[in-house]
Amino acid sequence: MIDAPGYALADCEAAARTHRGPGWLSRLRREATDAFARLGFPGRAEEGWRFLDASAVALVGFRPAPARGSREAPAGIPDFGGPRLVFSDGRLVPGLSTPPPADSGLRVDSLRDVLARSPGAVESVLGRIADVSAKPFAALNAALFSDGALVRAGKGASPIVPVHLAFVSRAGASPRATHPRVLVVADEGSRCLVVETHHVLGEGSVLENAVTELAIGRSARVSHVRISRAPASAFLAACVQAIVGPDGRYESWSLPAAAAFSREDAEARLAAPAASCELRCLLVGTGEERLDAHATIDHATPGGRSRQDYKAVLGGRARAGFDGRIVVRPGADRTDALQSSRGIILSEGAIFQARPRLEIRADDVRCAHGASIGRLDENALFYLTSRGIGASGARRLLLEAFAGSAASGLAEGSVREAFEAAARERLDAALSEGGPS
Amino acid sequence: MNPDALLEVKNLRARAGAADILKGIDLIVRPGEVHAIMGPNGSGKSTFAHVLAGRPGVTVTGGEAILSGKDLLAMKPETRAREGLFLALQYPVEIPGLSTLHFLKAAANAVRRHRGEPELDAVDFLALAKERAAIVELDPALLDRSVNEGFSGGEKKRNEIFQMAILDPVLAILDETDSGLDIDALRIVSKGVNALRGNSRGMIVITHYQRLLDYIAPDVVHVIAGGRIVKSGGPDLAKWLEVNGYAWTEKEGAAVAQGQGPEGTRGAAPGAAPPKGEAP
Repeated sequence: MIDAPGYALADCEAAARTHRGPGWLSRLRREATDAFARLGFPGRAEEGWRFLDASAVALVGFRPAPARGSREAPAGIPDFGGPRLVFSDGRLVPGLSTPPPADSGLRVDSLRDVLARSPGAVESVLGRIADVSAKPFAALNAALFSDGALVRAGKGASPIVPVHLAFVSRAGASPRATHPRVLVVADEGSRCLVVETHHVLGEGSVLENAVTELAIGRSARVSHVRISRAPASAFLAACVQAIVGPDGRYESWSLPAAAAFSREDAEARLAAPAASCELRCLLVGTGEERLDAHATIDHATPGGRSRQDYKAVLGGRARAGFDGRIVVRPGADRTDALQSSRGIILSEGAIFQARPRLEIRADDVRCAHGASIGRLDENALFYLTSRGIGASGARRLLLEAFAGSAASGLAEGSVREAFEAAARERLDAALSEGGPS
Repeated sequence: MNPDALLEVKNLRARAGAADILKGIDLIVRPGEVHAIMGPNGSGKSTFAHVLAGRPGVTVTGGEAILSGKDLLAMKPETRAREGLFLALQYPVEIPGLSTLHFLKAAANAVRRHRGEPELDAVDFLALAKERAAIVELDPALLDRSVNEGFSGGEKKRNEIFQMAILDPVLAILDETDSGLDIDALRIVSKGVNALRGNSRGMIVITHYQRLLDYIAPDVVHVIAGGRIVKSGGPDLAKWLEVNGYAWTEKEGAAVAQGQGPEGTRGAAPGAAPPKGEAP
């Protein structure tokens, strides 16, 4: 581990002074700063960091991006036809943002505005879901975030349009960091689809350190899509934490960008009976890229159901790790939890490591995990080529078949199309570099 | 080379790992002919099919194979398929996540591009697929499913013949297509194969049992043993094998290979010698 650098702690202190707010928020930032000071940037020797070394992040010396980011609309931000907030270097760009339809039951606001005007609205949830005590990046986000989005689906709301949150982080002359923050609150019986797209632009050193918290109420259902795009030089950390109420459902589809450093933590706490959760994630890496995905599903009450479906496709000398936990607490009977992690290696130098962890402290549960790592199936490759399909086309079809389930369950429409297009683009990049397997 | 041959195989030798499997195969298939290749397990039947289709893992160590005047062995597997060779696999591969329709459209259009024909769009291809699926009584609902995933044994084999119908090959090789089929499935598959027989198409039907040949009547029957064709004859040869088995090929393999025939094979009554087959 590398101790929390003095400049970073100084940045946290400065943020605490700048972001004046209610006492609870100041305490939250203080606790987060203390947690970060204690945790520092972990190295490989530390639990939870075996697959990806965070100490390199300390050496780059990332500082908060200047408050006045660019106001230009970067190319490549998709339009899903619904409400949208665009953030540039951590600040909302009102001119690029679209409010939700008046009758949709949705509210989509700048977190900065909410904290300035009516902080009481988020006091019981903001920073209460994401536990920063063991997460240095989430702690850093809590100490430093200056803006973000609050998405609220009112009781029974069922908007047909997706909520789109776009975060743009630009490289500058010196290493800079942005700390996007998202809070999703789904009230009883509501349904919503929230799409985060993260765009890191430019080849300089950028750290994007995002945290998303979701509070999913009774019988509410949240579908959550994350698509990140970043150059190979970027540093990315993302922490997603959901708490799911009775009969509630959280589903996520994630396509993290591979980069110099890319770590994603997804956690769901099934806090009430019959809550359910499905996490799907596709990791595609090439070159020297690094990816590390961690998932924890915490079955705290009876009758919960969870699925984890993680897939990796790696070419070049890319490395990816998956650390998946299923926790079944005492009394969480009739839990039904499945975890699957599968990796396809396209080249000699690529590495995928998987670490399933099942911590079961209840009886009468159904918990299972499966992990596989291998090359593309030679028999399947021959089968396709024996029908006239060229070798590279055959590899592409097999990879698409393998990765296709990453989007399964996602409703047909522009969001799914964007997800699938981004996945295909990455698979093509991995294939072109992976060479014949 | 033989000018009327569709396929001409000369002294073909191949090795898998350290073992010599094919030790000099000679075969001529003319357009419109159906050749049955029979033989005991381990005789090299399937290896012969795989070598012709270009399956990795088998190394050609000598000889040649010419398809429609072109050197088959110099081509990649996909080029062989585009040139009109089709292999129906004994064990069709399951590919979860890849729809049968998507797979076959990619295959059909790869073949069409090679032939200089325009590609089929989704609508035209679907129409073609439904028409050809009827030939083997394949439920069109299976077209939307992942390739062979969850298919019964019979459905998998029908899917192979369906693919053959889509790709319209000049030479089709059926590798133990009858294995694992019950009598009804065998009848349907055979009916499909017979519907695809034609004056310009050659077929090689590889089987362990004579049963399949009750449905797909061959023009020529070959017996392969020890990596060589040890006997060729008409349809009667298959019936003789059904009664007498393959034991004589083990005992007399070397002698048979020199053209002396299995007469006097221990366990075979004198009157049970295989009929004198005429080479085609």
